[in-house]
Amino acid sequence: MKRSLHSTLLLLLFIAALAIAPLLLPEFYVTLLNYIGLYAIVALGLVMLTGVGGLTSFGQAAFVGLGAYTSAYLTTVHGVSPWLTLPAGLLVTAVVALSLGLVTLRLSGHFLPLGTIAWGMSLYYLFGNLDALGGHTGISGIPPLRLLDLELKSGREFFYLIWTVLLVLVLATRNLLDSREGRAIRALKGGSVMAEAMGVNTPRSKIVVFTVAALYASVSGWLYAHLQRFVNPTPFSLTQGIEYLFMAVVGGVSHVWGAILGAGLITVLKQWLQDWLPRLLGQSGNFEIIVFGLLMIFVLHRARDGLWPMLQRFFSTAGVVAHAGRRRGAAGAAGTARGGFSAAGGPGCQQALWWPGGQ
Amino acid sequence: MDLQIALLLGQDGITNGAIYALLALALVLVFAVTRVIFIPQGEFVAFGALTLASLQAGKLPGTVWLLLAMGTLIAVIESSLALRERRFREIPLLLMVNCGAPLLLAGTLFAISPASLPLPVQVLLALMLVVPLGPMIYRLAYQPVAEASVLVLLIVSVAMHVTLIGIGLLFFGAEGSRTPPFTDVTFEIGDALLQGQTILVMVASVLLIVALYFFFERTIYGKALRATAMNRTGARLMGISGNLAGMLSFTLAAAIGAFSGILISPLTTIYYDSGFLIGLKGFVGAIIGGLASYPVAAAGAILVGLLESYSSFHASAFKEVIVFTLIIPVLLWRSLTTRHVEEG
Amino acid sequence: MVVRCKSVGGVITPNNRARTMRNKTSIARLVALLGAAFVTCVHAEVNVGVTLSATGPAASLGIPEKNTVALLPTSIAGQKVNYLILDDASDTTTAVKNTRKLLAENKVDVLIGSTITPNSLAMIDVAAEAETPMIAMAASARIIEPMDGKRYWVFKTPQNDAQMATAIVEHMLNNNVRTVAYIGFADAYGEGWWNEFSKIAEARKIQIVANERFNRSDTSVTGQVLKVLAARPDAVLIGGAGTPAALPQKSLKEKGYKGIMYQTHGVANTDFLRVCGKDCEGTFLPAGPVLVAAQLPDSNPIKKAALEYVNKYEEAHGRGSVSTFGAHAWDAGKLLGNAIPEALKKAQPGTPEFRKALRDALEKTRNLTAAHGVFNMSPQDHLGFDQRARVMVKIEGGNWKLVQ
Repeated sequence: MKRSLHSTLLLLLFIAALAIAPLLLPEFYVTLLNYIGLYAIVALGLVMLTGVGGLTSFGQAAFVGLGAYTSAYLTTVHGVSPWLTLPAGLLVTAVVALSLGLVTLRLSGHFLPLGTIAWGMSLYYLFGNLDALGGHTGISGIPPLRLLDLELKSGREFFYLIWTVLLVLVLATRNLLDSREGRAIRALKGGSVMAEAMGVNTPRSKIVVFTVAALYASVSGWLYAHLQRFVNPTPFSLTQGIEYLFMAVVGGVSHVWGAILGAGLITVLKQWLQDWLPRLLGQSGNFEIIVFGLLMIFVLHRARDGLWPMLQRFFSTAGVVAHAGRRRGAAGAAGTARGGFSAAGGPGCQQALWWPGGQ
Repeated sequence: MDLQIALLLGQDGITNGAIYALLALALVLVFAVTRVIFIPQGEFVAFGALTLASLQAGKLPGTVWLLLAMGTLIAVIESSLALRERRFREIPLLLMVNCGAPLLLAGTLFAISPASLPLPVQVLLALMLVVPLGPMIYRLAYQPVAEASVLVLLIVSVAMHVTLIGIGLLFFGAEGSRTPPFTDVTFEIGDALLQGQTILVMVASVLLIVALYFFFERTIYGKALRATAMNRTGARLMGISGNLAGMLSFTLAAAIGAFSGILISPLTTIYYDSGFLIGLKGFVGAIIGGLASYPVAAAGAILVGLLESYSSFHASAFKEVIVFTLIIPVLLWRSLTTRHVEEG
Repeated sequence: MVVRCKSVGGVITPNNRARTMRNKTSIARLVALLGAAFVTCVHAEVNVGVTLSATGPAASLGIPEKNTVALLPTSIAGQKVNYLILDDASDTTTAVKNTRKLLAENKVDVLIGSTITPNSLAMIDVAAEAETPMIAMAASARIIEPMDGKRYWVFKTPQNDAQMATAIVEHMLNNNVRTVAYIGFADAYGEGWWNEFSKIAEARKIQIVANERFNRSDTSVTGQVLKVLAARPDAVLIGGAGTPAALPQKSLKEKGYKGIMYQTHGVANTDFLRVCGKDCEGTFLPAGPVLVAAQLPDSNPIKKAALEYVNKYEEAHGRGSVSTFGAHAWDAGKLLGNAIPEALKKAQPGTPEFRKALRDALEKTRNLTAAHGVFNMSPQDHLGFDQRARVMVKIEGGNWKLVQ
């Protein structure tokens, strides 16, 4: 299989680049990569939920908060080891996601995204109003992660943990979507009537994909809490929830690698604007967000399916991925997310690309 | 809670709900016609109120520059298109509408001192400055992707919202403003005072809703919008331009937003970023109306206002938790009772 | 360090140095410079990293701070001082990201920031790990208490909430206030005030009859106000910052409340007076002396220091533009102006020794008169303000009036 060989090669190259990155890059770039990794984990969940399952969620930031707060609370108040708080956080998130899912996933059409906004807001204000969780001021002094005798304090050490988790999740996502369950999830987007006619238990599939996406967010939250060693409600607000969706869509919401691309692009762009705009325009104003917004509109005008399919087309025409890629580029264009909240993509949707240059 | 408090809370809830209802109507309208979930709707509320406040403070509102910049940009884009397609005769008109009109407005503002004008004229000036931004935003941000999916249009809205918040901070600063009330009349009900402005908000909202009803039922443009909302392709076959319908709906949305802002700014302080939460609550109302029904959307918005008012009395710290948690069963009920047709 | 000798002082943007370095045309030149460095660069420059909330919910606090940093001296003890200013958008993640960037990319010798308490708390770990002193501009005492290995590196310039709350409670006792209601922001600011105020008020036997919250951007606080009115308090304290704090007060007046009103020092800017108008007449608030600098008696040493700041700021930004928040940034600059010459005696900027020396010098600050008060730091107290750092102010005739 030539195409799988290509994709495996690309993947190995990517992993190798990641492995040596912290050794070569300056400290701050590693910090940025860490944040990109954290965001990409959440965006990956959204790719599955929104890009593949066709269910739009604005509330992922709240699940990140659940993971982060569970760990922060247990480690600071009860002195539990951070490694035990990970399953605890996942458990809390699973329970919350299942119960929210049971209620809100019954919502059809536009009611669902609003439902996610609703509980996203509720959870955010709940974090801020519970004294046990430090209120709006937050919880400080969260212990760092320890691996045997090694304390994961510096960004470079944490980098390997974050990106290992991310890569494992990428692989897991791919396998999940290729499984029987995954095909059922992929069928969701074509509208539930068709899927149910084919024997898919759509409510069950919706709950599965929703919970899995929430668990991804929770893992990201756990990592966040121990990287930052401080939590307060602001990073888990609706605004951040919208930003995750933003990353996924800009990167390419039907592609697992789009999540990483989107998270990377938005994080780096913001940093870059912060560095360069004051030099171009002077110190007086805060033009960063204005220019950021305008650039994003421009990107969406040029690549409404996100940047990943565009990148793929570019590479396939450049001949990097040989002739097989060209066909796939076309398939990618046809199969990318056209759907909105309930909009159905064509049959092409089932063939969305999961792999750099391969299916 | 005695009766008087209940009444006061009810009145407060309905006043806020009336504003949410107006925004809900605008959101339903924009979505039905263009499939855009218009998150920046709230920014028009803030821009309207703050532009009026700037005029009253004798300052040149920043929105003038925005209008000039966007007008010029559109003129450049449209003229180059016209040049390429050899439609030379249209260019002077394009320039006049997109550059000339904003320039004339800016010149007028420079020449006269708006602070000394009577209030209705100031309101008119503020509307003239803010409302054209609606169709201009449609032309620049949405028209090029008009055929994209709802999700992409939504994300464009998010980006637009971020941009407008930044522009708002730049133009109006971080601190808020209030404008003087249209009327100082107060009524006494029992021990409590009822401000004339509050009644004005309700009356104006009702009038606006009635006016919209007549617009959609009686005028050719209103009918064209309804036709587009029902079936885009069909409307196009009947000679209704999708772009025209889009621009028209954005003009209406901008007008409703700016007018809402001007209505409530005597009752509360408006900030550059106030719009988002107000818009969000309008959005909740709109969704309860299924993004399709105007009366249900208005009722939904008033429900949100009431929920908010009563919960801020009972447990103010948990107000948003209560409001948004109570929304979920309402959504569930609506979702189960609305016959949902999946879009293709 | 080499390039640092070449770059100009003043406010420079981040990465400036990195870029200058990349832009150097020839490696040979770089090598030559490197060689020269050990000879000519007896004094390297001092880099001050600043992260503050110039956008987002705390923008009204962060913007005057940002304007103030631009007024700080660009040369201390004959040494160039560079200020690298980053905006954290009132967001903790960005504040930490900025801190890491300033430390790693710009190798700053000291950090100033951030504007709000959660951001400052989040920065502590990063600053302490890099063994770099940090001067916070947020109010909560949690930033410097309890003193531990991490807070060893952390100082702050704003008065503690407790200090301000004590002033209010004392004023209440003197005015026979027995019952009080609290309406505060539903954020860290309102929460910090509630914690301190409720503790002190209860200890002094003032009964708190209502505790309400509202959001900065709420369009109505009728519910909260009705609840407060139903409890019939002698006085109401509003715990908010900037113009949003005017809304509860206006609603209370409108509903006919006649008791005494208190605000916090968070409202001390001209915009608040503009928005609140006549409804705020007779309101009391505790504030730093800088707010009423001109009214202080000439014998008060703070008068001169505060007026220096007020004049400088208003010269740059217009009359009536000054706010007490900017003065916290000014005081941070004052602390550095005092400590940097001491630290320079011990080590070169850009070295761990310098940062340690700077920290030690900050801790040894004695009798330093600044815009908000007189600093007397100690190993246990990294704020060092006494009673002189706060005055009671009354709003009269649309202006701040010192209560004698």
